[in-house]
Amino acid sequence: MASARSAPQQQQQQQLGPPNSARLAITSLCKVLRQYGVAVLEPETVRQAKFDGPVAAPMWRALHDTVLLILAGRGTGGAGGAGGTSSCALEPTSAAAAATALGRQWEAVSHELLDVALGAGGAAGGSFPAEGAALVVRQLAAWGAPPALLAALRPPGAARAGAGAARHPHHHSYSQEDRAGGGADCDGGGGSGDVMDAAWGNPASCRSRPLLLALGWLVAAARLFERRIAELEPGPEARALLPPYPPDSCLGPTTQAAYETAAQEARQLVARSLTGDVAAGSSSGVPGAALPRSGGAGGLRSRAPPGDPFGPSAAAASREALWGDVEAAAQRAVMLCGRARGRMVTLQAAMDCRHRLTASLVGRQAAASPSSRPLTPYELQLAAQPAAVQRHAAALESATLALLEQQELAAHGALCFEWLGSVIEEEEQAAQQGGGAKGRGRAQAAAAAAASSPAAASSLAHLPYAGSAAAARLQGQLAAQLEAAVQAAAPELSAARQRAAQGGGGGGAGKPGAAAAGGASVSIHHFLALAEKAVSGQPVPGPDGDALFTPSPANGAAGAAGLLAGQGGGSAAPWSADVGREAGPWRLPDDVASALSAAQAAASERAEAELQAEAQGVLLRHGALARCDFSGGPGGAGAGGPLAAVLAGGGPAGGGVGGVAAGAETRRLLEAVLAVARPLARARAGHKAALRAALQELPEGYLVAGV
Amino acid sequence: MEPKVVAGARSAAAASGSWWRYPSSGYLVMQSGSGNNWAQGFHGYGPQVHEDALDLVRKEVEHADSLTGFLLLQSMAGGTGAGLGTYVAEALRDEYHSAFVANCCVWPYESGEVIVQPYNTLLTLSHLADVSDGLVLLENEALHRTAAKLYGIARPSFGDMNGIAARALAAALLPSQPRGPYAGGAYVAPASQQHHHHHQAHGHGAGPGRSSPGSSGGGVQLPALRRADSSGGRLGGESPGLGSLGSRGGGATPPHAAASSPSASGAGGSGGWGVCTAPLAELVTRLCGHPAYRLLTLRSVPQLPPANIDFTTFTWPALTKRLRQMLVTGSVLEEGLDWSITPQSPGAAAALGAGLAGPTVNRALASWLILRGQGAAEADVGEFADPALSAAWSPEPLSVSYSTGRFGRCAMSACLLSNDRHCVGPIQRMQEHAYGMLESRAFVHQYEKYGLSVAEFQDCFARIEDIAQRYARL
Repeated sequence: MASARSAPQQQQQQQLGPPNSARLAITSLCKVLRQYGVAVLEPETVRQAKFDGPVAAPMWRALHDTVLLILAGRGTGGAGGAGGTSSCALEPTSAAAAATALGRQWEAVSHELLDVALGAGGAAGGSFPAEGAALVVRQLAAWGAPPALLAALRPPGAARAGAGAARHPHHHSYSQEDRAGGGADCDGGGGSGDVMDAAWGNPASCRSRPLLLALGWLVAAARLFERRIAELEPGPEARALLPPYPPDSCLGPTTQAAYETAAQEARQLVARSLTGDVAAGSSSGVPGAALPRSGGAGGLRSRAPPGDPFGPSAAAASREALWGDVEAAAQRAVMLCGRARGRMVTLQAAMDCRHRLTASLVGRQAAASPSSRPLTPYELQLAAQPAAVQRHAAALESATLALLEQQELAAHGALCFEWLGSVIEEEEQAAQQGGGAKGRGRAQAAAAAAASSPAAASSLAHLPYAGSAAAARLQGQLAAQLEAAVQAAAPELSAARQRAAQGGGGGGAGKPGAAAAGGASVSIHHFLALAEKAVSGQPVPGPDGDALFTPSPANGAAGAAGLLAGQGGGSAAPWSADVGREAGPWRLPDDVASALSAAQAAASERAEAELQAEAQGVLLRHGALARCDFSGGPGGAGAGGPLAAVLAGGGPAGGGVGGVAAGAETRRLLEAVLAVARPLARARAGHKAALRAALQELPEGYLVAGV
Repeated sequence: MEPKVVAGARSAAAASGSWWRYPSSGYLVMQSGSGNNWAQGFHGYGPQVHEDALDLVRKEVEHADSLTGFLLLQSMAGGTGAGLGTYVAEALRDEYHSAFVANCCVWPYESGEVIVQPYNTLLTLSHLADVSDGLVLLENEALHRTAAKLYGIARPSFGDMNGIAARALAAALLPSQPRGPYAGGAYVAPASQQHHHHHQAHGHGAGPGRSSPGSSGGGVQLPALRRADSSGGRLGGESPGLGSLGSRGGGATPPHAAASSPSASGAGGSGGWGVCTAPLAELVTRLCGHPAYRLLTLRSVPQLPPANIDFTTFTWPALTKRLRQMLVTGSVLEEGLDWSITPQSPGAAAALGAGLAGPTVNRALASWLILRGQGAAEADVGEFADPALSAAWSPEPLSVSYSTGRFGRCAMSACLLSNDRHCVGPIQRMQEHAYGMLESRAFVHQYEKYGLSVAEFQDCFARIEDIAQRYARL
């Protein structure tokens, strides 16, 4: 199989042309997949898929096979067991087995399903059953693929055909389908099958680039490269001591047997001294019964025969005997301890001696032949065992090869993901060129796919599945954080609202209704609803196609990474520009928005007030100057008129007594202005700080651009 | 201290032959002795020579490849050997925590060469009992009788007795390999060289040497030295280890050995048997595991004059039978054994109540039997393993080592080091004397001059009593 493929593969590689890295990336991707048993993917197919070539069917099939493989646990369980012996070529059998199994499965599936699909009117050659696509997409969703990517996987007609299904293409709906009727859509019969067909159209008409991206995401998410690298890890025999030394004598069978015998003896001893002796009762009355003479050389001797009528009572004797045994055991322990100490001292002396002699030997060797280094014991042993050396060398070589392969694979993996990044760029470019909502949706999908590459932020890709416990926890956390943020911001917001309400009488654009709502009642459900709307709204290019993601080069990646980044764009004043409008599905809740708009109104009002105050001051100053002119007579700088006087200087330029009066008046007015402006400025700063704090409380991974 | 004695030992060594010498700088002398005053040796000279003595030892230790421990040869009756020797033992214990310190002590004549010997002996014993890992007690009395009755020396000199003691000690400490059912777990060090730093404690015990200055002259000692030397030399022909050890024994036994230097005996352990053990470590480990029981008795057979060796036929049963009876009766002498006593004789029980009378049947905590000569590996020693001979709780009452090499000219010889209650009798007799003297405060002021109070005396005596009682209760 592999040999038959190799020739065209080389040609394709040559056709692939200039960017050597791209070729490497593609071939390494294909190689990895083939090593797992997905043999349908050719480098040329992949290359074409990058440019949306007509290769959707093989791409679907590769996706399908990969999904099946991962579902079957290949790569999860198999890697560990085979890891020891594997180098690259070490698992051709399992890979081939997987490939044949997949082939058979595919045959069965295609016979069963494709006919139905064909009957429904798909293209004959490069067709793919909708059920297969559904399986793939469902699994991708279950594994947490970005929704945008999933959306992009749908063939063009799908959304329109089955509006109900397409409106909820996220995890939840898949899970429901999963639970409800796993078998139903396999038959192709029944309502869900019809819905499926209707919803999916012909998967082969799908564009192939999203398929490629999905495949890349899958490879990254299933950590196929990493698993392969782990499989190539040199086995335990490479870590063994070389040349193999005999096992530690401490663990040898004789030692173990000795240990066990000793333990057995000790147990018997204890049992005897606890029960046997006491039960034996009256030993001889002599206190020396503690030192009986009749036993064997080792161990405590059995007691003297009972029956001494003149001794103390049996109980006393047995107590005595017991304590005698205890003392004897203690003495013996002391003696053994002393012996152990003696042995240790001797051992220490011998080791010192050995060090000393070794050192002197080395010294003499060095003196005798300064050029040659004396052999270490290890080297001597190696020299004595050529077979061991060969084993050593072979093991070293294989370990080196395995490590090299690991390294190469890691580099290729990185290259591959880099190349997938270029595919994403391609997608984005296409989206920009294509313009319109559809293009943007794709761009979002591409960006979401980019999240799977290690370089991109991956928070969204790792969001938990909607029905899961993790999601519930996350939701709870989000709610708590939001509440905290709202609480933190509440006084400021209400103050702003009040101020807006007060200023509203003066013609401000405040929203008294919103302010009257009192405490902020923002809840996570609000956001959830928004999210639902966003998810359903984004990928499906519809009439409500919003300008949510404008993938500008500046914040494209960030914008793609975080759904909350709806406020993106280069606008300098983020809140003023976007909040009020229907900026997107992720707009802020109404009361917060109203509070914000109130704050904005207050700010603008403040600015207006400052302007007014300034204008008033100017007017007053003009008036004062005019008065000054009148009182000071024509000798002043009257020729210039009021404007010239203002320009000439606000301060003492006017000179004269009237000038002083005018200056005092000006200062008073300025103070009045400042007295108005200071609290306003303070309030503004407070709002800003509160907003920042609220933003920081947002969960990780959500960005609010422009702040 | 004792310059004459040291000089005598050095000249004897120099005159003996080519290989027995003491290093020219490896000794420490001062001008006068301790005057049989234990307190002067311990409290007076001890601190004075502390640094110098330890320097000498350190020099030798640094030259040694392996330091297992120290074997100190000293007397117990006098002031220098006993007092200063004890001080040096304590200093060595402080300096070398992990090394063994074993002492070979000469128990004085009961008749008493020195009037204060009960004081000195008990003070030495009580201090060494805390410090030493093993105390081999050599009784002058027994050595004298051995020399007189078995060796046929009419008026044994200290040299003769030294020779006998040295032979016994050498028989115990020469390399041997463990055998039999008791060999399990015995330490065998194939490559280590065993070095004993037997440290003669700066002059010998003032007891024998000083009480008979005339007899300690070179002329009287030389025959003994020659004897020790000649046996050592012949052994040395077989193995360098034997030779050096023999020389050590001959040169270092207290009555004449004034080698006030720690002398590293060269390649002590590298005998020709392939298995080489560390005798000192063996000794301590096999026999002196229990901290309260550290007094060893040394017995060896055959004990016969060298001239008779060639006309004697040796058999293992005969040797072991006699040795065993020596163990049973607690005798150190091969002669005059009471063959009526058996381990099962009622004396064993009576001993417990006998108190000062001393036990009549011996009982050992542990014994180490060393057989040397042809067939030593196969000789039957089962009768030594009689449980009645050992304390009930002793974990390994008997260990046996052997060496197929001859010892001396004897085709077979056996040596038994045992931790038994033979020592109780001499100790109790000595204690009686000591208590009697202390009651009348005899000579106590001499000791008080050096800071040894009556309370300390009593303390030491109590400790000795405790030790004796423990042995008696074995």
